[in-house]
Amino acid sequence: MDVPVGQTESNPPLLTVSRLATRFRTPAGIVPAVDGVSFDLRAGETLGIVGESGSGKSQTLFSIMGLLPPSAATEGSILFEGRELLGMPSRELNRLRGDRLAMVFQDPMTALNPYLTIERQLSEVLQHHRGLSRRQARAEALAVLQQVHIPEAARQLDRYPHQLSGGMRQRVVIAMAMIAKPDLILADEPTTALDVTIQAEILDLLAELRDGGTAIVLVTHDLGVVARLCDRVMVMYAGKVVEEGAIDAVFRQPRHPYTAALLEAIPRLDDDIGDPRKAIEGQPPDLLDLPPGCAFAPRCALVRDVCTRRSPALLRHAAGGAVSCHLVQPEGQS
Amino acid sequence: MGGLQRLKRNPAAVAGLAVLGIIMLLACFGQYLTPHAIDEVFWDRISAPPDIDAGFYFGTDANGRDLFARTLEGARVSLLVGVSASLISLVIGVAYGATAGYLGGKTDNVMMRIVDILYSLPFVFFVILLTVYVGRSLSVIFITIGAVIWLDMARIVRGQTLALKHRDFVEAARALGASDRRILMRHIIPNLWGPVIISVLLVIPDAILTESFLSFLGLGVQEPDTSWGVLIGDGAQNMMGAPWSLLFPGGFLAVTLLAFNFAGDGVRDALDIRS
Repeated sequence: MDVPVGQTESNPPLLTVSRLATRFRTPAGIVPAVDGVSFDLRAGETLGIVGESGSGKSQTLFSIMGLLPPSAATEGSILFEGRELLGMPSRELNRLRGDRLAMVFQDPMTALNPYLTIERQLSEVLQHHRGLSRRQARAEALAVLQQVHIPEAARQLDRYPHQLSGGMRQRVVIAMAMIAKPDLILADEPTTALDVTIQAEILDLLAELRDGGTAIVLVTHDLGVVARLCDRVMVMYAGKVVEEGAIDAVFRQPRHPYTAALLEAIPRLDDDIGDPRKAIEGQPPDLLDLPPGCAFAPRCALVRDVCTRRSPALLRHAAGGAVSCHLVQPEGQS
Repeated sequence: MGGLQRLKRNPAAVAGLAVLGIIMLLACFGQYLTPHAIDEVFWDRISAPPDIDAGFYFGTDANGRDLFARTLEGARVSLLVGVSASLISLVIGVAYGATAGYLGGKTDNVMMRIVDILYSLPFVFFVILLTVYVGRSLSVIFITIGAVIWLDMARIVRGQTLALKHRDFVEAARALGASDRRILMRHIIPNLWGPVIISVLLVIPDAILTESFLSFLGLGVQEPDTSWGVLIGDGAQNMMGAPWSLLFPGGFLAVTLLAFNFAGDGVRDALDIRS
């Protein structure tokens, strides 16, 4: 069901993130939440970013949206349609946000203003960006609610968020993101706070968006979600990209031991009940106190001498992906 | 919209609003119900009990003046002080607190230190100074009460705003391109109504009591003008011989404050769309 990534060099990337580094100043020291992340995203492409809590996947999204708190400092470059987002004045950024790029938040219970009706939440975006009248915006709001398959959409317009179920609210959150027909939607764990059955429906909805030509960056810790939706996947660990590639290639042949371990840890229906869960040993690293070599070395089953001394570079391989691991890299390189 | 219906379903709130309405009507038009002026002295009726036939519905005070007329005049002054104080704390306190809390950082620090400084001013000394230079008048009362009454509101609103500004829907609004001003007006301030209504409720009696305290010190309303605070003070001195002179203004004050409480509770519940 996934189209292999065509290297269509003719169309320029919609989003180019290069050597993005986001650091937080905290009382305990500087936390390198995102450390040298680079990727390209073309129009209509879908990229999944996978990792454990604290791997920097969500902070990558917040960096792109310019939603970082004042304690954060960013380096590198984020080009959206050729324009640099980092350091862009907020007036200019506000014209892009919501209009050309939008974000879907994790928790639909808190992502909607409890004092605004569904109509107001939606029409606000259009009145702000398009200068539509209240009437026109209401018609658009109704149309977008129907697009996200909300039953009795006309009746929901005048209701408040607390009167809707979690799944319905997440549909509204997605509707808010897509109402201005952005080119890029950043989704931060859009299914994590939902029931499994609702999760599937929301994923179908995101798939419809993708098929409609919207580029999507999906952040999740759920590899199953990535497999269903994305063309490419990027695995992050301790703020760094450890592996990246086309979804089929990475799932069929994970090259980084961490990716392999993540895939192993997915529960399967055909597992024997008695089998112990193949969880990854150890804890995610403390970003304030990273080991000198590869950040995954302390938990890696295949660790070698070199891993604890030098951190590996992210290198392209023949299959089109990239991996950052001493084990899969020829000696002398990196 | 739905709020009005919710308010109507709350009998205590409706009663409170009705009582407030009646008291306001009395304050505005009460002078047409009595033939007596507030400063007219009846030498034959010093501290006389209520006499409805003669038109002295509440009796007279120790100076032989009609207490009904004076109580209504007091209502006018006290309500004016209470309402204007609550307006000041609403407008200045909410705007100031929300701005400080939302912008945060250095701006917040400077703004809240200004609040601290105003808090630490010796209030009575401040009032005496003003009356020396400006003279005693009702506007001095308004200015001095207004200068300090919004400080509590600013602090409450700032605290609430700090909690609100990291909520996801505020981030979501920013992610959709809303400016700071828009986020404040559309997303922060509407979510503040609950605590704001409660503190406005506290502001009104506070202002009314502050006014009567200043008047008692001789810094506020001057004879023959009056307010509930002045009347209660006078009435307390004569309560042994003429209990009505304490009972009527005191009763009006108590009923008004109670009505504000009921009405405020109802309005807060009505504004809470989750109820």
